[in-house]
Amino acid sequence: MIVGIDLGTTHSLIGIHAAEGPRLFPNAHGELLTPSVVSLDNDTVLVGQPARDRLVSHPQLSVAHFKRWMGSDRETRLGNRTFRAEELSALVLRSLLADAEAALGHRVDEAVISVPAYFSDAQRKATRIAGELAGIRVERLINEPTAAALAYGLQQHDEESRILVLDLGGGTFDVSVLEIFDGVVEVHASAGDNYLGGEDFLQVLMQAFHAELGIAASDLSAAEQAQLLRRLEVFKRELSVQGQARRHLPLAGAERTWQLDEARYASLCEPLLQRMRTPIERAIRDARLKPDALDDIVLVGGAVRMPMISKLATRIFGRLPLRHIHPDEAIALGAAVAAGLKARDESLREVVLTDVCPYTLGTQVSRRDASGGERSGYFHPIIQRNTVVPVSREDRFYPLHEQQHAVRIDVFQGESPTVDRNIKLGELNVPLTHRGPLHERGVTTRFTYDINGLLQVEVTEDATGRRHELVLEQNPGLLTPEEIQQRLQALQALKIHPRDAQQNLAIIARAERLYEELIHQREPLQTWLAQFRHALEGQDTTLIDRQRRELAYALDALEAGE
Amino acid sequence: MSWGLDVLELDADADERAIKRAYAKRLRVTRPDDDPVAFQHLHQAYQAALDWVRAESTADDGLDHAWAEADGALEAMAFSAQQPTPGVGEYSPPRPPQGTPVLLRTQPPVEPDGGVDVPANAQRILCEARLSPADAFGPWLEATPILWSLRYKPLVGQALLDELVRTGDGVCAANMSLLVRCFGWDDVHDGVDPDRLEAIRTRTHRRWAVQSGDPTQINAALHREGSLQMAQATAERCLRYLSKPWHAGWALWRAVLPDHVTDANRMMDALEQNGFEQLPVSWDPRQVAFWRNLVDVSQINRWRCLLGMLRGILIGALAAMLPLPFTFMALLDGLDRDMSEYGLAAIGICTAFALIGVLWPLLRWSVRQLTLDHSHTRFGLLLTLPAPLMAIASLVLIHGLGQRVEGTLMIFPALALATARWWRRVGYRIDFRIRYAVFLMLAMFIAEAGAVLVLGYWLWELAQDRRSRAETVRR
Repeated sequence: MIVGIDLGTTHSLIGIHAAEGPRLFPNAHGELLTPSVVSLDNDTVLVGQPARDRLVSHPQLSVAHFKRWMGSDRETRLGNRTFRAEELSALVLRSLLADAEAALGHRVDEAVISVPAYFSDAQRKATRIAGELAGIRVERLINEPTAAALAYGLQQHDEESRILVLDLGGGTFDVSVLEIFDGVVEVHASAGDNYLGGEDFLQVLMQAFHAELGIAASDLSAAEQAQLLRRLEVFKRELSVQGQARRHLPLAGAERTWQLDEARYASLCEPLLQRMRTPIERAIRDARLKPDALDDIVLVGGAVRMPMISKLATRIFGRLPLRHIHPDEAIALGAAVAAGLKARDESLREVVLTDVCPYTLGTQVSRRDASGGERSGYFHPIIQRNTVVPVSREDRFYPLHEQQHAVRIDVFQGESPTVDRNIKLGELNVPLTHRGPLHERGVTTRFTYDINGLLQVEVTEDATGRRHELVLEQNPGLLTPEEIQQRLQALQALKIHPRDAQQNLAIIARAERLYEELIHQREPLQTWLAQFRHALEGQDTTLIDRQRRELAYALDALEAGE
Repeated sequence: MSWGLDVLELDADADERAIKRAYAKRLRVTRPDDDPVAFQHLHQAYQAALDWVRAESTADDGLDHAWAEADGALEAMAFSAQQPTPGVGEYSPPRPPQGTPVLLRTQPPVEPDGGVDVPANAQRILCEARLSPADAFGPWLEATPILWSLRYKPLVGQALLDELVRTGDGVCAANMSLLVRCFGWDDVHDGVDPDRLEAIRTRTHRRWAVQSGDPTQINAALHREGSLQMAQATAERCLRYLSKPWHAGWALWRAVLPDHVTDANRMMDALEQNGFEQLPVSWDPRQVAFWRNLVDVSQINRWRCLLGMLRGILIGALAAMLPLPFTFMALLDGLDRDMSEYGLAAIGICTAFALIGVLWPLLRWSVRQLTLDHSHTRFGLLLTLPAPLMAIASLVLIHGLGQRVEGTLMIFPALALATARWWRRVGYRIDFRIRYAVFLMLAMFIAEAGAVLVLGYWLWELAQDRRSRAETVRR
């Protein structure tokens, strides 16, 4: 049984494709959305809502938004351990898998994980490694807008439609142009920005707040910042729903009232909205589609609830975008369908999905300029972006000088005509054994990009027929297999609370957070916490449940009162 | 009939819908994860079939009718955000800035019903790019309505690029970067070749620097890419020369050293200042013309002759100073020498060199002229007269004054000039024929023959020139 996972920047979900359709699994707290936050409590790991609460109460031991660090070497320190982004994602995956296994009743060993369409090769590999560290096989990754289109397309019963999916998640922005006809979901083009998401819009709000109150971010402690961020999230939501918001926000122990209306917020976010234009224009251009040939504009992702996003889409396309699929769940539902497709579910017999490679792959070449000198650093594309995968293309290259013994085939990924702005994936040194004039010493390079996103490079020396292969498994910035094993051992040493204990942990974490936030209510909170902890030690489950419910009511009352 | 249709087993009259249905049917069997090679073949067939069908049918030139609907829709979506009155003691943010931001404006698009004037829009953007500073140009570009149209933006971009290449207008580097990013000219897929783009960038930036007239800017622009192999001080000197207001004596004096002339011309070449249009504000056209003409061998004017004369005088003076130490020593030795003799000799040498200095460019230029049409210069035909004049003078010397030797000597330069002109006319080919050589030898010894030859050749050239001029007029 293959599960589909949406590993998002702010929230993650897990689901499966059942006979009647895709279905998502709730976590231990009964929610479908699990926050992608990890917190450490001595040697025990907390994932989800409790960890999110602990961002405020124990900011040094909790971390969020680590999806942005995937594919890089960045490590974060929690307590006395350091974690890479893959490990943190692996912990989130484990928690999700535990939820799925509890619902299914048996172990899960394979998953299809969704990634932003514009994720680079290194970022995709990091996602696979995260799966490996979580103890599952991840062979296929699905692009997030494609997943949303899958979920949307299965609801549609039109003959054919061309849709544009705008996916604004917590940390990434993706655009895909797709065509759905006769059960075929065909992606024409994808583009995006890996550093533009709901979090950036929140940062704008934060900066505006700081600016208008004349303080700098460094004036606040980490706990205060986390608290402020949490309050601003609520503020932002109110802004989106009601058009204006007015809240008491904490500041250095005191409370200040701040109000803002949607129009002003939109003007503050103007630079971010302008950045969204470029991927949209590129996707339309690459799909060779007239904008009025589109039937629907579909918005997915949590951040599209902001009215300014709809306004932007309307401004660009001249029509109202569609939002009738649940923006938070669409991608996970699509990932579940993709899992079903991979597992060859009978109910999905009629559905076929074809995707594209979102970036250009090529090699580095040198040119002779007008004065006869040579210049290197030019990017020669072999697989153009937005070609349907699986794809295999070849090209012929010649050495520049007579005295060359070998040619170096560098593999680059990117859209710039010079390699210094592209990403290097690897290199292959091919010795030239044949001696002769330059035009006889050519090599043929073949790039094969398969449906799982693995690139294979094969270079053949034309004169002799010798072959050299390079399968790009390893990247700089990624872990080697030995390192993966090491990290796996280290992760297995970490304890994760059993699922039944999760709710208790959640309530404690919530109480601790409120303790941190509501300075004037600390006395009662302390008492209740001590009471509950005492009850936990007693291990009488009925008593614990009752105490927990009472505590929950009390905390609800407290939060409502603020 | 496309091979794609064959693979999909369709008839030639299949439409897009039928092609898609056939493709979908086959795709369920040949899935991408099952058999990559077969899938690729199927997909290529599908693409080929679609391209063929689309090429067959006429393109439908639809307009963005949805724009009119969009304005109404935006009105409906706009909520009325009431500004609550701030109470006492409460903190409220300052008023929103003047001018509503781009995205909230619901102004109608530029497009009239008939279509959009793409070149005019491109011109407008180029004008703005030339004139406005970088921090203002960015927001202006983001707000331009035509660039919000997905359909017209690429067209405007192409028109803008063509215009830039054609006129070579000056745009500062920052604005150029904004344009490149806006229109995606640095894209490997459908952008401009990187070398060409770099050349365009450098050129427009240099033009902009030149048009600003500020020497520091121009210097910085020239040395930005290091392509101008000139020392900073030299470049500054050249710019100083070119920016000076026109003064004949000063310019002549500065141009004495040939290095200065070549440097100034190299600088103008680097700035691509080939003509006199779009000169920097501080540059006098006469100054530019002066420096340009000094290296242009196809032109002749009085400045070149004067410069030659000046150079000649200076060289002569230097040459005359060479025997000075010897003269001194002779004087000291007590040899009876008249200083006036020395003085006269010195003046004589100077004059000789000055004459050479004047004659040399004249001769060089006159040899280079293929036609006798010099109506564009002030001296016109007079400058081609040396050869026939010398021929007549030699005849006069021989038959009038009886000086045969001097006459024959006089004919040599005339013959040399005529031969040089003839050689240039035939394209510097050495077509050695015995009878020409014999004839020439004869002419050298018999001055009359030589004179006749020179005069005849000159008249023949005159006739040729008249005829070709008449032909051009008729044409």
